[in-house]
Amino acid sequence: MMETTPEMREQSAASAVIQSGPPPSRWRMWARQVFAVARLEIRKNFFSRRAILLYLVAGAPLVLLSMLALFPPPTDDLENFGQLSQIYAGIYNGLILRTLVFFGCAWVFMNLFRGEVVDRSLHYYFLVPVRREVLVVGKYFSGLVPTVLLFGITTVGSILILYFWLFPAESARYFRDGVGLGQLLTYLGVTVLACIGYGAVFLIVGLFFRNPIIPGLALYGWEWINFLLPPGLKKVSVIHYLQSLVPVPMSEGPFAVLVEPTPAYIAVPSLLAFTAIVLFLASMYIRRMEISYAAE
Amino acid sequence: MCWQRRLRGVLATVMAVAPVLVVRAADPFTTAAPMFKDRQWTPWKVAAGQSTPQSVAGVQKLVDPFPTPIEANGTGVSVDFVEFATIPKAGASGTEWPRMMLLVDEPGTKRMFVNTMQGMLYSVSYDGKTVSPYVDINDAKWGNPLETRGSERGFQSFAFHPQFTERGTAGYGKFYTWADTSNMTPAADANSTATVAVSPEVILSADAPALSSDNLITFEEVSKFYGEILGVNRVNLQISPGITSLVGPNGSGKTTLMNLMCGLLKPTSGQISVLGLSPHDPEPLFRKLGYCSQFDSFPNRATAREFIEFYLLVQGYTRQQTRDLAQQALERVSLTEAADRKVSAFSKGMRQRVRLAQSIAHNPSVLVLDEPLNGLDPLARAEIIRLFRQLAEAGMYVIISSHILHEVDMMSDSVVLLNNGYIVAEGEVHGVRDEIHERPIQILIRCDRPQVLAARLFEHEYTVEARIHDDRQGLFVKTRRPDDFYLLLNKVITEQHLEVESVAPVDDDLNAVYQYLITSDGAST
Repeated sequence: MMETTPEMREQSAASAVIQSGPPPSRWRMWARQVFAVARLEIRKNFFSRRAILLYLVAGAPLVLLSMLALFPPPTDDLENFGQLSQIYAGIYNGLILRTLVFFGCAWVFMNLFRGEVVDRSLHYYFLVPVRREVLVVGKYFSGLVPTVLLFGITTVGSILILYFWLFPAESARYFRDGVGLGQLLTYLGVTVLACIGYGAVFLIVGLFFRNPIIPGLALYGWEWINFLLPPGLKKVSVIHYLQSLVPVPMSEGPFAVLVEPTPAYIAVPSLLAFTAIVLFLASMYIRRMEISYAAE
Repeated sequence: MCWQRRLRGVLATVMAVAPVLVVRAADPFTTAAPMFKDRQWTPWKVAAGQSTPQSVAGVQKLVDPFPTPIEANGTGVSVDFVEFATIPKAGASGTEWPRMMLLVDEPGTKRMFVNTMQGMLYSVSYDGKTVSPYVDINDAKWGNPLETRGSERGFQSFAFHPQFTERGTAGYGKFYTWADTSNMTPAADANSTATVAVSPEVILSADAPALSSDNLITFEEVSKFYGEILGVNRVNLQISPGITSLVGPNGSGKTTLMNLMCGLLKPTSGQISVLGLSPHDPEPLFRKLGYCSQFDSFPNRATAREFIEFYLLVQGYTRQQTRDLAQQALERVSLTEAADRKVSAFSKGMRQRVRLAQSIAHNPSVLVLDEPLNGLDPLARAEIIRLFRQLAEAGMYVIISSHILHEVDMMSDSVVLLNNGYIVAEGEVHGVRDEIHERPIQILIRCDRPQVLAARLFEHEYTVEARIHDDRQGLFVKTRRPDDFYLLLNKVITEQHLEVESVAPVDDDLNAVYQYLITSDGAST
C-alpha cells in the first residue's frame, strides 16, 4: 500500500480548495464554457494549417482587384466612375458572396466537427462536463469569428481598392458625402448575414455527411439556380434573402423568375430564425452522436 | 428504519459474497505451514465472542470461529481461524480506523497472521506498539500471509485503512492464530486461549455506504452492435472501486465497453450506470469521470500545460483554478519539467502522460484508461502503475485495458476477461483461476526428495499428474482439489520428514488464466 505522504495530503487539501467556492449559476457556467470552446477553436481556425485555405479564399478578391487597378484592362467601363457600383455589385454577387463566402464558410464550418473526427480529437470535447448544445454554440461562434472577420475585410477592402485606386478624389466624396458609406456598410452586413446563414447550414452538413463535398456542391448548385426557381422554392435558400438585402440589385438574366425582393425586416429575422433552427437540429443530432473513429 | 434496511442489505451482500470468496481461494495456511515444519504445533483455542459487543447485529455470525481444517496428529500443525468481514464507517478519520483485535490471554510465543482477501490492512500492532506500520495488500495475499509474533499477554491489533472505508467495500478474510508450543509448558498449552474481539468500527456500521448502483459502475444486459458486427453482447458487470482491468485480444470489446461507459457510444440494448449517472448526461458524468483514450491527437503548437488548461477552461474553471489543477496534474504524472514544451515534440510515452494528466486534472472519481501503458518505457511504466495504485487506494475506480498481462496481474484488484464481445470471466485473478475446473491447478513443490513425495501423492485421487522438475529438486503436481491436496501435502511432508523449501502454485496468474480461457493453450511449466 502506498503511504499517504504529506505531499499527497497537501495535494488533496489543495484540490479541495480549488474545487471550493460558490458554483457559478448554470447560465453563467454555460456562457463561460461557450467562451472557452470558442476561444480554443478560434485559435485553431486562425492558426491551423486548414486556415491557409481560408486566407487564400478571403484574400483572392483583394489580390485580383489590386491587379486590376495596377494593370487596368482595355475597357471603357473602368473609366466611368458611375459604372463602379454596378461593377462592384457584379464582383460581390458573383465572386464574393456566391462563391468565396460560400466556400469559405463551407471549409470552416464543415470542419468544425468533421475535422475533429478526422483528426480523432472530438472525444476530448465529448469527455468533458459540457452539454453538447453548449459545444455546438461554442463551435459555431468559433467559426463565425474568422469568417466574419476575414470576409468582412474582403468586402470592405475590395470596395475600397476598386474605388480609391481608380478614382481617389471622387471616391472620397462618394464615401463621405454620398451613398458610398451606406452601401459599404450594407455589403458588410450582408456578408455577416451570409456567414451566419451559410455557417449554420455547413455546420449541420458537416455533421450529417461523412464526405461533405458532394452535399456542399449540391448546395452550391441550388444557390446558383435560385433565379430559375419558382417563388416558393426561392425562399428555401440563403441567397434569396441575401440578394434582397444587397444595395445594388443585379439583373439575373432573361430566364430569371422574377419575384419581389423580401423586405429587410423579414429577410434578416428569417435568416436568424433559420440559423437558430439549424443550430437546434445540430444540437439534437450531436446529443445522440457516437464517436467511432475506426468507422471513419 | 432506513438505516436498518441498509444494514440488512449490506449484511446480506457480505454474507452472500464472503463464502464464495473464501471457498474460491486456496487456504494459505496449508501453503505456509511446511515452512515451519521444524516446530511443534498444537491447536490454539479461540473462544468466540467473549469480548464481542453484543448490541450490534451480525457480529456473532461474522466472527464465529469454526474448527480447523487441518487435523492435528500430535506433532503436526493445526490452526484456528476466524472469518471476518468488515464494512468500516464511511469517512472514518485516522483515529477511528476500523480495528480488529485478538486478546491473547496466555503468555507464550504465539504466531498469528491475518489474510485479507479484499481490502487493505493498514497496521498491525502488539501491545499498543505498531510492529508493521504499512502492509501492502500484495504482501498479505494468500500464500504469503502477514505474520506477527508476540510473547506477552496483550492485544494483537489489526487496523484497516480508512480509504478502504471510503470505498464502501466489504473486506473479507481469515484471521489465523496458532501457537508455537516449543516454549510453552503443557499446562499452559492446555489452557491457552485467545479471545477475538472486534472493535465497533469493524462492525457493520449503520453509516456504511451500501453497495448500490450509486457507488458502482454497472452494466445490465448491455449489447452493442456496429451494424451487423458485434461489439459486446449481453454484458452484465459490476465494477467496484480499485483497479479493474479489461483484458482480451484485439476486437474483444474492451474499448467498446469503455466507450459505452463514457457515453461515446450508445448501447444497442441494456442499461449502464456510472455511480448512478447515465453516460449520456455529460455535465454531471464527466465531473466524476476522466477518460484517457488511446487516440494520440493534440492541437498544433500546444504545450502540455496549455493542452491540459484548454480542457479545464472548457469545463468552466476559472483561470486560477485551471492553472492550479493543471500544475497538480502535471506533477502527478511527473511532467512538470516538460510542461511548457510543445506536445508535438514529445515522445510517445510523454504524450501518453500528457493525456493521462488531462484525464485526471479535474480530480475525477472514475478513471477510464484505454491501453495506458502503451509506449511507456519500463521506468515510466512503473511510475504510472504506482500512480494508478495511489489513485485506486484513494478510493478511485480505475478501469484499465491492457495487453501487458503480468503488469495487469500485478496491479489489478480484479480483471474482466473479454473475448469476441463476451465476458469470459471476471473477478480477482486467483479466484478466476480457481473457477477453471477443467484445468487442474499446477503447484511446484521445491523439496529434497521429490520422488518420495510424488510416490505418496499418487496414492490419492487428488493428484492428477506429477512431474519431477528438471533439476530434481522439485515436483510439479496437478490437482483438481487444491484444498484437499494441501491437507494431504502437509501430512505427507510431516510423515516423510521432507525438507520443503517452498510450495507455490505456478499457473494461477493472469497469463495462465488468459491462456486457458482465451487461447486454450494452457500454462507452461
